[in-house]
Amino acid sequence: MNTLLIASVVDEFFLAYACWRRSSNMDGTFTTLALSPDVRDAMKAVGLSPVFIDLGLRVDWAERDAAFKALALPGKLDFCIPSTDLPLWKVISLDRLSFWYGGAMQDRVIEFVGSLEFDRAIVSFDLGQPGLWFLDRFDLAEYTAVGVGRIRSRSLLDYMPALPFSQFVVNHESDARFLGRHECPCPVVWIPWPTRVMPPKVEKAEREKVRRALKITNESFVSVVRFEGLTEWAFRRWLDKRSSTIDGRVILVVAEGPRDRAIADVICQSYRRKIDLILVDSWSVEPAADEVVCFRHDQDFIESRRVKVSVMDVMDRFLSSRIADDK
Amino acid sequence: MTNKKVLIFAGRQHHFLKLAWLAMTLRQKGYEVKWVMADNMINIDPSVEYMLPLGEPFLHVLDYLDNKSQDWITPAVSEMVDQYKRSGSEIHHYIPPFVLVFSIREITECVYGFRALLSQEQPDVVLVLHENNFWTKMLAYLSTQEFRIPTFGFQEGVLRRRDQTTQNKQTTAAEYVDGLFVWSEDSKAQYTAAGVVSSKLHVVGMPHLDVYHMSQLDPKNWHAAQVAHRWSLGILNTAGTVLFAPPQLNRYEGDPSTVFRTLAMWAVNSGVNLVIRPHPLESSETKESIASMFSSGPVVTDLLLDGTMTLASSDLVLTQQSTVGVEAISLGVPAAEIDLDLTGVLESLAEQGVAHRISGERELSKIREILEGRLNLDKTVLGRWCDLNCGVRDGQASVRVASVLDGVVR
Repeated sequence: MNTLLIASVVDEFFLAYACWRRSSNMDGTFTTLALSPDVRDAMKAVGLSPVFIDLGLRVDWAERDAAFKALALPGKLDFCIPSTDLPLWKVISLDRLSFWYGGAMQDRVIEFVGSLEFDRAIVSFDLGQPGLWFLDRFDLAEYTAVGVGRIRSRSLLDYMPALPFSQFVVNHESDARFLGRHECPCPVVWIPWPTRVMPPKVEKAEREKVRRALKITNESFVSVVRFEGLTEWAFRRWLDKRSSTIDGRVILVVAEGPRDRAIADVICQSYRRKIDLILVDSWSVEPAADEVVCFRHDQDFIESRRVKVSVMDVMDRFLSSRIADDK
Repeated sequence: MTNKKVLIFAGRQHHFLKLAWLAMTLRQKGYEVKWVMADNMINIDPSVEYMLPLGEPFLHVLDYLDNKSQDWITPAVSEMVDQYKRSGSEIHHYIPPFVLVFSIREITECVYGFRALLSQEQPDVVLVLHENNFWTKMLAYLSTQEFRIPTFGFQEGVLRRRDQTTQNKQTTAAEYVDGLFVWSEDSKAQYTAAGVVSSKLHVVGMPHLDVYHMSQLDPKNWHAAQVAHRWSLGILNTAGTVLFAPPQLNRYEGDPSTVFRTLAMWAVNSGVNLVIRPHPLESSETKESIASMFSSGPVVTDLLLDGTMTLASSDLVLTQQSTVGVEAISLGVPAAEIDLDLTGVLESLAEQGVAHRISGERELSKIREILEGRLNLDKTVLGRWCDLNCGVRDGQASVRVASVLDGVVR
């Protein structure tokens, strides 16, 4: 049996799993593909020697539009949005799917992969990477997805029934339980792997030192709030509530990255007259916090925190209650 | 005076920019105007980012979710994902499943939220920039089919034959709206040919250019305004000013990595001012990267919210994008299609005799000839084409839109 492995992200567990599969692959070839230079370099470093797929084709827009029409206008998307007689394709195709459509470039990737001989496929689980999701067109004896990082998300919950894999490998017991509880359509294999070291709790002296630097008294209640564009609406609602409540709390908004910082800056402007609010770009202020507030359940984020996290997912938009459920 | 309530969808900045003057016109006539906003996928450019500083009244679709919304939304998402799976579609072979499933959830949230919004707000009229859009297709459908609220759209840009042939865009622009405001009689004829009933079509001109067309009626003050605008961009000399307004770089015909430097070098050596205006939908990082390279001397970058005044204050516009070209022609600014890598320009304006063509670096010298009036287009051809394609340019298009809305009875 010949094995094809495609990787889209650098992940210690995935690389270890890939090495183990290669070393136990006694009965055929083991071909590896990388979808980015970073991944190629990481795989090379552990001796996997992948082929890097990079097809920088010039786009022929007329040809691309015609191919997209066959795929999605309406293609097979002519079923209606529930409770309406509005077909899905009329909303989603032109102004959303077409932006991400890979066209001829993706055809070349599919053609290239199709020219390889393989009976088994192993991919990193990555819902946002198109280069990993076309293998269900081949008749495979095994199609394994390997979870990288913490896999639980609203999008995975939503897409669960359509997962095309024959096996899902994860390295966290709680992720295995999550997949089982939410009717993952394939067997789930849990391979224990050392999880990250939990960050140390904040000591009193450190808390006071950071507060002194920020000119915040020890008596003040401090909320350190995560800003992401994705949860902007919930953030604004939370600030609305704070601005109508006089509780004397200090709010430190952490917006990482220039884009989130720019958005948060605009939004915070309209609240600065009502609330004591400081915008920062790093979690180095976290020791000053009495609580960390975020607006959706993000397991990686929560596990990285040193202070208790409150998830304020308004209307449970991000299905945080289901994603957090670890029992 | 009327006391009608109008809701205008402005989930993207260009929706607002193209309909802001109309909103002002409607308010002057007594209409109550509110903007409708929505998140935009993972929200790297949320609509509130531009709307909050403006202080305009807006309604956000997510504010209309309630404690029961998830009871409908999540099962609706599951139903569509099931249907997708059963359909045997190969979309996930070409587009990441994340995009598909995230968009499906966004759709269900919008359907739920728009229903509640329309029910609670009870507008007399709903306006959308155009119906061929993720949010406005849903809004136009719900507004007209479920709530029977008069709903209108606009011709957003140049009508391309290719868009109609491959994507049926002109037909679908008026699927659910009760009326479509179009630029010209020729536009009307194209929509009619695409199957839109003529009673839906109202020829009004270009409402988004009203303020400029109106200002141009006073040539002396218009000239002063052009000079003042160029000064604000840092152009203080009297040499000719050329605007380069490319399409989004992933749609640029040719090599986008070399065109900026090629044009900048040429401008420096020719003593011509060059203004670079990245496409409004380009990412902030790309815009800032371009601005960091070209920010002084004869080459500057325009990152203003709306680039129309820069367009109107230029002596020549270089573009591959037909809508910019047509807007330039409508404002009396010469346009040239730039094709430095000789890849060809689809649905060329130059081939119709209404724009110049600069094919290859050698032909950059044509720019000087155009600026100095030594290379001209046939004014008769240009005038006839402009009348046919741009419609009346008297600055009263918004007034004509308002007249139609005045007659609307819910």
